[in-house]
Amino acid sequence: MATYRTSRNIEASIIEYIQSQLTLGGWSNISVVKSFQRVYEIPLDTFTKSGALCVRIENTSNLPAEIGDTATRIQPLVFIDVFAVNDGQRLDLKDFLVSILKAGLPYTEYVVNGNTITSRTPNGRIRITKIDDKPVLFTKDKSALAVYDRYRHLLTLIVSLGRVEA
Amino acid sequence: MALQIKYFDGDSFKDIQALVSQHEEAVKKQIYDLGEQTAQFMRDTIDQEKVRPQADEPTTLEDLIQTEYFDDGGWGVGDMDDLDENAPYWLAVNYGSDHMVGKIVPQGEFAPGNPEPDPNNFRKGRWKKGQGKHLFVVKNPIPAMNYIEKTINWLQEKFASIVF
Repeated sequence: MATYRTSRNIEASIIEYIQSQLTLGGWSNISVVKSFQRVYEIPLDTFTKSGALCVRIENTSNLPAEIGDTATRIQPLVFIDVFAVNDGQRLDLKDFLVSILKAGLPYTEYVVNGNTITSRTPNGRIRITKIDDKPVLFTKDKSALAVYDRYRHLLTLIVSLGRVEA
Repeated sequence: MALQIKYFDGDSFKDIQALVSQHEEAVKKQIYDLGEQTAQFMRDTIDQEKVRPQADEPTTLEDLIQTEYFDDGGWGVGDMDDLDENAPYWLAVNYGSDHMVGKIVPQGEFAPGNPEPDPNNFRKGRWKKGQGKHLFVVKNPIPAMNYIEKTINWLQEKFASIVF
């Protein structure tokens, strides 16, 4: 049994939230993973319109909450890579993601056993304090690119739990 | 008679203006200095997050990340034309890419360490083409380092601490 700490809870909360919103929004065949390498194991298929999203937490700013105390407010930097099968899907997916994320999402604390989640405890909300999104353009000639790199987009989020970490 | 508006602690707009002017030069200097600090942060990010030993290979990408100052007092970091020409992999390192997956690398060897391709020595050496007679097929994509976005995030925090 393992109890996720804050960063992994945020990462898993975002992944689960996006998965549920994709289903509610009528998106099918969009995989959501947390490892960059795993994206490349998912077959992108133009016919079935199967795309992929990768959610990663990278740097976290630990800001002092008040003078004379070691408590901090954390501000993780979250990357969401969009791997689409065409330009239309890329734009629709990134707009959809912005629309579902901008109001924030539930923060859940997880306990896992191997690959199985044994407990989910809601404990507040993840607030999105900033969203930037931009296309990833390796070159203008998309036909020269590998399939995974043709229609990519990157969302950069700064998130907050709106509370102090002791 | 004109209506005189004062800030809540009694300062007039003129007092506030004088206070802002007093700090203007210091703020300009701090923003100017951020130029080199930003380039350094970006270079450090690449240096710390690279996954293979540098060995005696040149740090081409880091060396190309320099600050360019403009006549209007502004600055920029990294000349994209220069990067495109001399370190064309700069985007692949930042965003990650699988453009090499499935391809056979040019003949060479790994150094330092075991010269032969060996899963047990994953990321322990760099591929030096032309030095040996080994070949392998690339299996893993280049992971995204996002050194540009991390630097932008760092810069925004620094900038806010100066201005606000």
